[in-house]
Amino acid sequence: MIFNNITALYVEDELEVRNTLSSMIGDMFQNFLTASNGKEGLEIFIENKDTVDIIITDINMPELNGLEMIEKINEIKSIPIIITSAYNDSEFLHQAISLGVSSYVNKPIDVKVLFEELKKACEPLLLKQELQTQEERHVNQQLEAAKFTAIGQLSAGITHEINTPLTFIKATFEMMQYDIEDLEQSDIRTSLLNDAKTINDGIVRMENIITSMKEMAQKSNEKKESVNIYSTLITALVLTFNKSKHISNVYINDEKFTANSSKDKLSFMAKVQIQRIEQVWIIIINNAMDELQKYKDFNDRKLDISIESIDNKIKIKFKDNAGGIKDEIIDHVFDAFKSTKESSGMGVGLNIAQKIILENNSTIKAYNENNGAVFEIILQ
Amino acid sequence: MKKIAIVDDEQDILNILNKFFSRKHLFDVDIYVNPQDAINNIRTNTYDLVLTDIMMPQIDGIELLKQIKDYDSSIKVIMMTAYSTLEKTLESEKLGANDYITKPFISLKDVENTILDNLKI
Repeated sequence: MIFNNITALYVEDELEVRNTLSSMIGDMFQNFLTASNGKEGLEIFIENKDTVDIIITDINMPELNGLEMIEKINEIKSIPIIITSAYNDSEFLHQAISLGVSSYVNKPIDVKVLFEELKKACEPLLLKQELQTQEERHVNQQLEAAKFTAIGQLSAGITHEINTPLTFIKATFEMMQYDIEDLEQSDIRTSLLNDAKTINDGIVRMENIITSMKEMAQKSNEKKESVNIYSTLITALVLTFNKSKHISNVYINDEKFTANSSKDKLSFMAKVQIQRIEQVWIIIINNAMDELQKYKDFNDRKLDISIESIDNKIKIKFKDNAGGIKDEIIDHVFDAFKSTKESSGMGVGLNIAQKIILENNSTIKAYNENNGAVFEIILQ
Repeated sequence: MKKIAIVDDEQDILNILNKFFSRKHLFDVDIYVNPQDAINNIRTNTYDLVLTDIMMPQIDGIELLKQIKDYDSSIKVIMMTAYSTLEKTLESEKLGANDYITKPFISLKDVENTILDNLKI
């Protein structure tokens, strides 16, 4: 539709002319109303005064002629009007101009000319509509953002509140299991230990959800600073060491990471949001640990991290040997709520990681290589 | 026997840690629900290690860490942290924290091992 959202009123007393023109231009408008004389035109206009955007009218008509109708309409609302007429004497034109008529198309009507005039007359309307739509969209976006912030704050609060009881529930329950294990062999002891396993699974699931929510609640408005990316990797490794040391050896540029690894051994400078980038590394490392955990022998498990400069960019690769990402999800690893883990959280970690990487004008991709998953980040 | 202090504003967490550590009794444990009490006692009781939560009302773990390290930098300090306080964790690292434990704990045994590692027992 050319004149989207525009309603036109066409007033013409000659049935044949009215039908012909209606069939030619009617479909260009959202609504196309017709009237057979000035009186009817005025009535229809009054009925639809809030929706009619433009009027196309003949002049010489019974009951109320075109100019009289325009005069009355002008008293109600200022609106673009195009007149079609065989009249072209100067007195008539003067009168039309004094009534504020937008333009004039000679009869017999050349549709091309009429179309051009319609375009001219409707342009401001279309522009206004476009502005309104943009404004509405903008307001909606702001509302959405505000809602999202509110939900974010709420979930951050809930997360913290749940984290504390979860900590002592988990710890107390672990303690209770030691007490059960100390009991003498009996059916009740066996039954309690079985039930304990179910409860444990539930606790782990809640914990994973809380971890995901904590990841989401991280601040996003941090300023970019020039920083040594190597040292952000070491920081992330230190912060995850508590978990990783039980699961797998981690190597960075072929050197085994330990709690004493120096942060300044290598230097790869880039301008990024430091904590957000560290959060990305932590998400990827924790994910790798969750996958590696499934593989039996500690000594078989390995997470290799490499960092190198390529054409003024920094390439960071995380490669595990946990069997790789399954084919059916490899294209969706960065989608939210598409967890790749069987008993994990909500699957938002990598989605957040990707968002952060994009916000830092960089790229992240995931692929499989030699029986393992690779997460490759290129920092600008 | 080595002596440690545990500081957390959640009594339930203190209780369970205390109960667990007293089973094997590998070190002496004092618990503080109020960080100010811990600060007051650091000078009188000689602790080898302090295990502290980060998020606490009034005096947080960071402030406690500062005061402990100012008084005696050889006292080991392990921070207990939720991941949502990454910022604070990094800050505490700069201030000389010796280790971190995430909440919820991986396991009580893990907390114990981390303490033992740092006490070099």
